[in-house]
Amino acid sequence: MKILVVDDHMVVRQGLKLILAREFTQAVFVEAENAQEALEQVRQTPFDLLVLDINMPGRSGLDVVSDLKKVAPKLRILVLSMYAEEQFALRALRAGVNGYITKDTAAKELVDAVRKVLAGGTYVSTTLAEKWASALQTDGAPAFHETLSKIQPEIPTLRSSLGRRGWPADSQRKAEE
Amino acid sequence: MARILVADDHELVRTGLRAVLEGQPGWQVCGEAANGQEAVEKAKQLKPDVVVLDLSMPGVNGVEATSQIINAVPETEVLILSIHESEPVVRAALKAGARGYVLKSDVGRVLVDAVQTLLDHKAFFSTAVCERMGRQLLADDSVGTELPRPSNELTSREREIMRLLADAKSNKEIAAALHISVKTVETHRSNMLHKLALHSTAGLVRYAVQNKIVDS
Repeated sequence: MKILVVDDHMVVRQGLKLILAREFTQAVFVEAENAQEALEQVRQTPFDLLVLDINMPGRSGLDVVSDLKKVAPKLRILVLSMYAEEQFALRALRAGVNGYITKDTAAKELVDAVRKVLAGGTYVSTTLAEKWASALQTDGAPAFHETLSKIQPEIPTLRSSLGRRGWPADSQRKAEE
Repeated sequence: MARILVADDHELVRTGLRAVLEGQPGWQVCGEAANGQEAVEKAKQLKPDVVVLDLSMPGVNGVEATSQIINAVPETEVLILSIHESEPVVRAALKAGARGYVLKSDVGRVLVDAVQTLLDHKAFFSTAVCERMGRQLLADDSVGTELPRPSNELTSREREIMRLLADAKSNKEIAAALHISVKTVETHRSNMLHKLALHSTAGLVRYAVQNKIVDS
């Protein structure tokens, strides 16, 4: 398995590699410092997963997602960002990424997110998923509905994935089965 | 073995810092702290050589933590990691006792050098921080434009009196020429002897000639 870690901060790249290497012992890690370098790496080598920072010098992580998908349509992408989920998760999912977590996420959740995205799922934190679920269930949240309407293609996926108590529903569903 | 304590509220960053620091031969990360209070407690307990400390942490912030660490373990050096390069923030960190200040954008390039410098008990700052502090210093009107006078440098009045002494004038003649008292002339002469570590008027005259204060 090959994982491309894209972040302009070397310490973050090192931390990511170390945390993921403990769990994915067979994984090979490659690093990129910016979006352009990531694109070049993806053109040269097939990767199973790309862990992508948003805020980098030059093109932002989100700007490059469509180009990455053109080069490697099946590439799984997990965004790892300093920005709060409420700010960017929807936009990132709309851009085509498969998961969104923040840099203050604990190592265990980071590993869970990677597992889920590698398995073909979509990952956002339980907290954010609960907010989305609440917005879907409540009539009085126009701003949120408005926002959600902009990601109409994702809503059926979210609805089917959301369990009674919220995200992540896949593991809950499996447990119920 | 150099012992380093890493304090940052992001586990991802602590892990990355540990990976980079422990990649250096002879360096060991002896502990991690997820907030300022924990950093202070672990510093007291572990007495590390260096604490690498995030400035913005929940609860006790980096500046307050630095102050408490330096008070409790004075031999420990504190390296601040921060996104802030503004002068008041840097000043607060330094006043608290931090010996180093590195911007997070520079950490990848300079972390090892910074920690090594602090292990040598010297100061380390990101280039951008140095430049900002320099600009602040230049903008500070309270800082004079003249270099401080070396303690042994003669004043213009003393050089004037030295020239007259070399011209074989007596104290009385010098006092009259400069419209000052004989006692003042004697005081200037005494000060010159002290500054130049000389013992006689003849020595002052030789000094005046050698240093081209008068023509030989």
